[in-house]
Amino acid sequence: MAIIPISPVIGGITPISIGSIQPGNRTGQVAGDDGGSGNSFGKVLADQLDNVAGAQAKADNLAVKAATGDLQSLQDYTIASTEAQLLTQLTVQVRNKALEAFNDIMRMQV
Amino acid sequence: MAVSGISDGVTQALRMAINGIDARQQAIAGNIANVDTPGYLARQVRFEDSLAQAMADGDPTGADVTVSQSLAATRLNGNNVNIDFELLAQKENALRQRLVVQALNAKYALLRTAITGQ
Amino acid sequence: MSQMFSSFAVATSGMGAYKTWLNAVADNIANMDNVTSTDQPAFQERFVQVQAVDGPDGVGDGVRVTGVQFGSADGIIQYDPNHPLADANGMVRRPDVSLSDQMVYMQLAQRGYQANVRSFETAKEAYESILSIGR
Repeated sequence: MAIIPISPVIGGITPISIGSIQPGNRTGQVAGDDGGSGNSFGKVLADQLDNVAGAQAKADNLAVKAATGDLQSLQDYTIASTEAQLLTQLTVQVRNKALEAFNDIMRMQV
Repeated sequence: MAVSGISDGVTQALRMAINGIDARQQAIAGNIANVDTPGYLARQVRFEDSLAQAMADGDPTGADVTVSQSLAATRLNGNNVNIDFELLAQKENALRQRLVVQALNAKYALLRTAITGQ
Repeated sequence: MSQMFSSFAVATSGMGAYKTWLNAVADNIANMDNVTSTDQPAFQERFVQVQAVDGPDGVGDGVRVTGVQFGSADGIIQYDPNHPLADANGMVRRPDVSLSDQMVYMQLAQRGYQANVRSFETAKEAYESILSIGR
């Protein structure tokens, strides 16, 4: 739920391969895809979003258990919750960096 | 009550739990205040089963808080408050309050991350 | 008491009731050696009466001191011919207050008071966690 606003952005950056935004590759090809290996940045991000959704669902499930008094161990929840939060932040940061890179490329004089 | 887009079933369940735990807090304080009151029966607050059922039915706000009187054996003065039990239950209840509040805060933090992109 | 911080009011009512009891016990002990002449009533032991307060929502609103009951004014007639208040038969009247009873009551009242102080502090923790929502 929390990550819906991110989705449209993925579509926008799909064509850029993850290789093209690594600093080491700057001198090589500027934009393009990595030959259709299926490992495009969009795919990576989409997988990551699945992970985030999974982690959030797990934390949600345990949060409800905390509310109904069915939580078996405190650490189950606190760990799941922290992981969901960190994974979400990680994904958001990756998105931010990718967006920055995309913007840099768009501004490039050809 | 629910703010659409901000509040989901989980935050609603957590809010209901906070209400239940708050009521229990007061009931336990009342039991402690009446530990020597003749004829006083300890009060017990339950909301967990109702909340779990309401969650299963898809509407956490349908959960309710029930208060009942303890059936434990009474002392000579007709009072059945067990002070050690109450003090322990009160501490546990306060910790559960913290846990549930932390869970609610974690939900809000996720939203905040999504909103601010930070 | 659907009121903010109602657990504070409940714990405070408990502290108040036990404080009243402690005062009564202190009074009983202070006066337990009051000697009176046999034509005067003896000091009467103080008993504090309390009652639970039922809140509108069944959770309960704490406790209330409903009054003070007095023990017997007959006291104990003792032979003490040297006492200035002794009557023609050398008898005086002393209060019928047992120190050991009072010590037991004092322990109970003190423990009850402390329990309510702890209850207040625990309630404070719970309220503080509610105040941290959104932070």
